[in-house]
Amino acid sequence: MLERYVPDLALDSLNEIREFRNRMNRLFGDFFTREVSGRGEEFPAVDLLEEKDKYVLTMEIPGVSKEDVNLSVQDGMLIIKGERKRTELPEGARWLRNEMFSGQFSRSIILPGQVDTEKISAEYRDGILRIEMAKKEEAKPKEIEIQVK
Amino acid sequence: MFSDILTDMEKRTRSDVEQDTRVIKIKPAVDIYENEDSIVLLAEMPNVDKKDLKVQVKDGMLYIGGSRKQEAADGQYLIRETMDAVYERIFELEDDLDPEKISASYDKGILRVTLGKKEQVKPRTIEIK
Repeated sequence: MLERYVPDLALDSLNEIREFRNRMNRLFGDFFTREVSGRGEEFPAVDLLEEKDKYVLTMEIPGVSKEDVNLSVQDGMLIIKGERKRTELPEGARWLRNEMFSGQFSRSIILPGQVDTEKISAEYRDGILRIEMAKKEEAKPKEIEIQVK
Repeated sequence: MFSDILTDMEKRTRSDVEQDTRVIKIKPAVDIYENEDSIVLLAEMPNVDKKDLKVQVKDGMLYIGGSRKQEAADGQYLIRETMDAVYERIFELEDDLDPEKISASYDKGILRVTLGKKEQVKPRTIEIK
């Protein structure tokens, strides 16, 4: 199969798949998707930014330990799995409120272009997981000089 | 300033996220537990610079807030599910808490506020002679 970088097409199918998945989640419910603040969004929320030579994915997972997050890239898909542990209740203490989500979460993000799996880095800060994925050479935009006669 | 926020309180309880003309406000989810000598509040407030966090006690109310970091994107968003917003939530404090005994810290996107109880409300074990 030929792999080509066609941004518009990739984005359309990405949205289509997300919409489909959202619909399925709405129909059947999903253990790793919850409604956030009644907005009916997927959980955890992500941003995917395309820069010139890399993709940057950020995911909001406050209160998660680094050791409880697992990343993998497979078939053009970035898979993030993890677990948010329940707040530990010290001995002798009692809950007054318990609103925070705890349990397993997972999100699969279809990458719109080829990434170099050797050049993926991730860091976790202030509750945000940030994953930088370098584009493969062929996925980088090429500048073509056109001579104006 | 503070009274403005209070007027908004009623409105905010109906929906966790509301959009006014200027800024989107998110009501952070909280875990709260009570100890023998304190109440500990944990609030989910990811993506805030420590210096942009605000914890304030006034008129028997605890206010927690913070604005999310805004990064200038050097590219194009293919997915954008988060938003530029501020966190804000207000709690009524019970009389048995000491407004002088409050401490706060921020780690992994979680704000932690410890509110100490007043001396006299701490349970005391009386020795029987």
